[in-house]
Amino acid sequence: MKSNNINHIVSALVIAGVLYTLYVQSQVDQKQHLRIIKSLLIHKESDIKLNQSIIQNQTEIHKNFDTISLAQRLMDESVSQLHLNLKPYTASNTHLLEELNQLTSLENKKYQLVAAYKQNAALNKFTKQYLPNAFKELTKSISNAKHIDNNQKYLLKKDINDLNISINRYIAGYENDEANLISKSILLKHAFSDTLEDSPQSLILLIHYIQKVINSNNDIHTIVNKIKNLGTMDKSTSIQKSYEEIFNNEHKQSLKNKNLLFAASIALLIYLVLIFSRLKSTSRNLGKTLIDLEFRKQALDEHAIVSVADINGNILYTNDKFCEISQYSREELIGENHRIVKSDYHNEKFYKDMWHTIAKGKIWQGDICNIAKDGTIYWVATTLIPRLNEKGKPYEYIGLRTDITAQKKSELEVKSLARFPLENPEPVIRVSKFGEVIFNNLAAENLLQFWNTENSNYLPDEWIHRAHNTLITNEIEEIEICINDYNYLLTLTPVKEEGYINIYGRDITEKKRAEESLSYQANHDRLTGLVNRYAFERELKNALTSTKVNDTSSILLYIDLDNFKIVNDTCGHIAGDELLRQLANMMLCLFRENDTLARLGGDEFGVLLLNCDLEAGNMIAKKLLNMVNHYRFMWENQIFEIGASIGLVEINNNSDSIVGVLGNADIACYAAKDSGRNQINIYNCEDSDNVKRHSELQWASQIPKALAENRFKLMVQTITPLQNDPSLKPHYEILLRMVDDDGSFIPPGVFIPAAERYNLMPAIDQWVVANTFQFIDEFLEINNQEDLPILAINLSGESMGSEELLAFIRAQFEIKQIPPENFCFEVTETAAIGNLNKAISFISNLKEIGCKFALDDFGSGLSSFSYLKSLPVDYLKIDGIFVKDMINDPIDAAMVESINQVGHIMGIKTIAEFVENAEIMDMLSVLGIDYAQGYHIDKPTPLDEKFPITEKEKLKQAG
Amino acid sequence: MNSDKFLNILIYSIPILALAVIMWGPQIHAMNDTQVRSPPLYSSAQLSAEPIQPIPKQANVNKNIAALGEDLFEDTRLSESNVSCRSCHNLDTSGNDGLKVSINIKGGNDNMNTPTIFNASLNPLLTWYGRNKTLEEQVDNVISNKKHMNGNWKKIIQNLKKDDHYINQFNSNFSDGITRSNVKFSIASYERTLITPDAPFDDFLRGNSDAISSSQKDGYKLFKQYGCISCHQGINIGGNLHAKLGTFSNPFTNQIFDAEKRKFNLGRYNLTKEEKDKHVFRVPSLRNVEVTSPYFHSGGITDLTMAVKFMAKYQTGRDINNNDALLITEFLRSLTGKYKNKTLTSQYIVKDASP
Repeated sequence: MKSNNINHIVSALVIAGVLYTLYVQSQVDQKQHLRIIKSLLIHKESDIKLNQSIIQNQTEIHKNFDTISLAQRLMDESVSQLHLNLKPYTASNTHLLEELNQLTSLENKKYQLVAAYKQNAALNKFTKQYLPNAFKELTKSISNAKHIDNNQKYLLKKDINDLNISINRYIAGYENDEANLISKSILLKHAFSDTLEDSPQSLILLIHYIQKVINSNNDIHTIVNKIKNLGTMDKSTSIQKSYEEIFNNEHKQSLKNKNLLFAASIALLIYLVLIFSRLKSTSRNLGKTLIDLEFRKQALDEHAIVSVADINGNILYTNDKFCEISQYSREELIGENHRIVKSDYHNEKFYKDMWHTIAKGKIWQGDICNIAKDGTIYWVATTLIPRLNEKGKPYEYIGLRTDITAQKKSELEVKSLARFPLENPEPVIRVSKFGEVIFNNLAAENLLQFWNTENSNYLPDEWIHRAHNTLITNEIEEIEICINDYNYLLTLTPVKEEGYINIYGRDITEKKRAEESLSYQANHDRLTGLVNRYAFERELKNALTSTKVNDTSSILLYIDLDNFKIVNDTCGHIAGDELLRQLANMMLCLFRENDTLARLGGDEFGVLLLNCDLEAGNMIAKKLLNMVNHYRFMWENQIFEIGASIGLVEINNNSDSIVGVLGNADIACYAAKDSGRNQINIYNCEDSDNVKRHSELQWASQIPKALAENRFKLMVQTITPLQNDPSLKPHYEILLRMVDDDGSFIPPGVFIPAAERYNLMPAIDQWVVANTFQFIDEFLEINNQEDLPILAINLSGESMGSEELLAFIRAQFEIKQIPPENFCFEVTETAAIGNLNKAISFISNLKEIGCKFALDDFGSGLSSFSYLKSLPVDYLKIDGIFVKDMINDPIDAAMVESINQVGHIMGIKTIAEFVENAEIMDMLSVLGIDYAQGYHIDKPTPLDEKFPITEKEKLKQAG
Repeated sequence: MNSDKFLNILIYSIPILALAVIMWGPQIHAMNDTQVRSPPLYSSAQLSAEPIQPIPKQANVNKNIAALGEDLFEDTRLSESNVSCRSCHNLDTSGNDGLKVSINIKGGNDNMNTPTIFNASLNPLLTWYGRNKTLEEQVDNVISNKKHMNGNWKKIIQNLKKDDHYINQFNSNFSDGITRSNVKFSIASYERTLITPDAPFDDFLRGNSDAISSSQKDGYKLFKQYGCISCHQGINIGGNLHAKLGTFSNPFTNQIFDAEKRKFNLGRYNLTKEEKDKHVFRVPSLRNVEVTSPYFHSGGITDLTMAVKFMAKYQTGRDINNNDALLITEFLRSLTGKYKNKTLTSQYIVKDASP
């Protein structure tokens, strides 16, 4: 490239040089030519003028020499001008120089001649001027002469006159015989000397002057002739000729050069036109390319993040996209190093490799994680292209990048999502419609091992069939299986479009166990491990139906231990429990496998003997009684004898309901007890009725009486929050005591069963509610609403179904303007479930106005968590039997914990009952139970003592 | 598109125009116009039948250059030692030194009387011998003359080039700055302004018949009759021709010529060594003759009437009577002109008056 440029410059210079030389050669200096011609003319003119001025002087046209002097000066100047103007030619042309020098010397000569002329002319003039006077003086001197006669005088005068005439003629130019003049003057001198002794002075002067005139005249004549014949004009003309010759030659040469120049210029012009046309097409192509390039650059800029950097990575150019993604302005970026966007994502080696590659002039490609001005990370798929110099060394890098941040993000997301099933701790398997395992995670290995798919990679045929079925029906199927003591719930999810089945396994072993445990607990008595009342009733119901269907009979035994209270009272209930456990185990041995022994509560047991007639039942009862009688309970060196009262009922076609059968058995048992204990009483309709009437009617008549006499007392027990949560406020459960005639309190366990049996519960509940409202009404008259405690009132199952009670409660709220938020109603699980629909409607109704509900004795009853879903309660009261022993019994603790967790998950607060010591309370607090209630916290206290209205009133009044 | 076409036309027209310029463009001037430095003495229009012509009222010169010339005229740097042109040409009086002969550069006596600088420009011949034709020549000769100023041109130019004033002045008036010829031209230009117009006789010539007295008129008549006019003619009343001193008899035996300076009486012969030039001198101008005493090349006569008588005796061969000589002297007095509107006074008298 460089040498090419030099070539261009050199050739351009050569062309310019040639053209310039031709141009200079073609020029003829017309002005100089004119000047030379003019100076030649001036010279001639001044030469003529000089001659002219001499003639003018001679002829007295000019009476001084100024004209001549002026002409002389002009001529001098014209000669020097000639010299000056002809100098360019005289240097080369010796002939011309010679001629010019000749002319100069001629003119010098002329100058001297003119000077001589002036000198002589002055003399000539002067003498001529003086001559007439000289003649006059001479004539005068003759007239005055005394020595000569008149004739002589006349002759002399005549001679003088003759000379005078001759001299005048000579001066006038009529005569030029100088010899004659001289001879005449000599004759005159002789004449004077002949006649006069001395020639007068004037004669000598005259002759002197005449000589001067003649001499000067001759001299002037000679000088003028010399001037005329000097040949200056000829020389001038010859110089002119010589010059013109030279000029013409020069002119010819210049014409030649002009033609050459013209030809060269035309050639150059044609060449230029060619070049221009080529240039034009090139420029058109270039323009096109430029537009293309611009378009491509624009396209590139639109698509990519472009930057240009020098070899040190300093940014020279960035496009808008670069600025946009980096969030730096272009001013901030230009001149900065690329490190400005460098993130910590890549290690040093990554950048080292990159630089190494591009420094070698190779293209580098890769994904780079950069950091924007605000610190956000962005990913760019980068191509770095080094721009190489002639030596192949990079001097600039162009970086093209594409924003792949989103792609990168989604890639990572996809990767992590892809790991999702892998990370799943539960088994996940995907099988094709042919049962081939396409995918499985680690958790599924156990399952697959069980299916022995290691070799075939296919599910067992049974499962292939199942899977295939789900695909056909397009319905999700759930199957539980047990493998190596592990329970799995497999959900077969068909993906019809893709034609495969996803199997999501769930390890439900724990759940299963908990469920089993719960169901066991629900159906069994925890103390003895026997079937509990609930399960027993279910069995009983089954037996009842099967009896009716099969027309067989079964026997129900109702056993109540005698003297059990003694053991309990003397040795404590631990001993009592042990007694019950031992007895239960012993009794269990007496029955057939399909017979059912249950602990119905306290020291009461029930036995269901299926497909057994009265006789066999009686025999078994006797056997049982005998066994109990022979049993000796030993406790701390004490031996106790235990007895049992057994009520026997035959279940046959006539049996109406389990309640009736149980009630009959109970009656029979009571009858046995009444008739002296340790006996078997076979239920007889008439006998039973009496006993029943006797025992229960007593209470049934007592309760309404007590209600009427207000012989009931409201007690209250604190339910305190365990967790440090301000939303948890202390509650107070309202408890009921009947006041006996002697003023002692009768616990509710005594009269409530009778009340329940004789349907007196709604009346009692209403009494409780009314009295509680009454109390609150009074309380609020004195106290602020903030001081109003939250009170929990127990409601029975019957009350839940009572429209009247509901109306009453709502009316009370309205009348007494008591905030419903302060009221919580406690309902037993059993009661609620007994009539679920009514219970739900009741609860919803009161919840609407703001009342709270608690599910009482949760865990000991029917206790299915599923009921919780349908019961919109606010509190769960965990049954005290779990709480009581939870310190020692981990299962109890687990129960409490799981109930609490379930409750919390459902948004229900939990309350633990029977909190009898600090250890329990601490543990409950750790487990996260919300409230606690029990003797350790507070013993039941009369309501009016807990919230003494009168004292407060007094205090207030006093205050 | 339009602008593209225009561009194309422009591009194509450039070489064509360039060619046109080369072929028919203005021609290169190889030489500058030569400067005509010596103006004519007087215009021909003034010339008329009268042998004597009046001096023009004003000199035709470049005033700036004349001013520069004035500075140089008074500059002693043009000489070897402390001498300027003005040292011998006192312009306050009669333009000469009033001495019999000039003082040379060494302080001693020179051989010739110093002619006045006034109206020197009107002389086609300069110096007693009529050696120089132009003032430039005259300036050069006087400066380089060993007796007169003994200046070294090289040194002169060097010295002048040290002077900012001269650098500026020369640069503004001449394209080539301070040069020998520019220095000469400047001084000569100034000297051309040293003319003395408005002499009473010039007024008379211009038609004012009362400008001169009747005796002066008579004197002029005698001046003509005695033939003085044949040599002392023209604008400067002499100065334009050579003449032999002593037409009828040899004057050099007269006491006015110092015997030891006989050599200088040979006149132009000393220059040309030609027999015809023996005792030939330039005819001096009679302008301001009254105030330019002493007279003749030897400065031998201080009285003007005496000089008239001397001239009559040796040049006309006649004894002039005293009355005529006085009348002619009277006429000559009417030739004293004015410089800067001031009639010239005699340097000789000024010198006489001083002790």
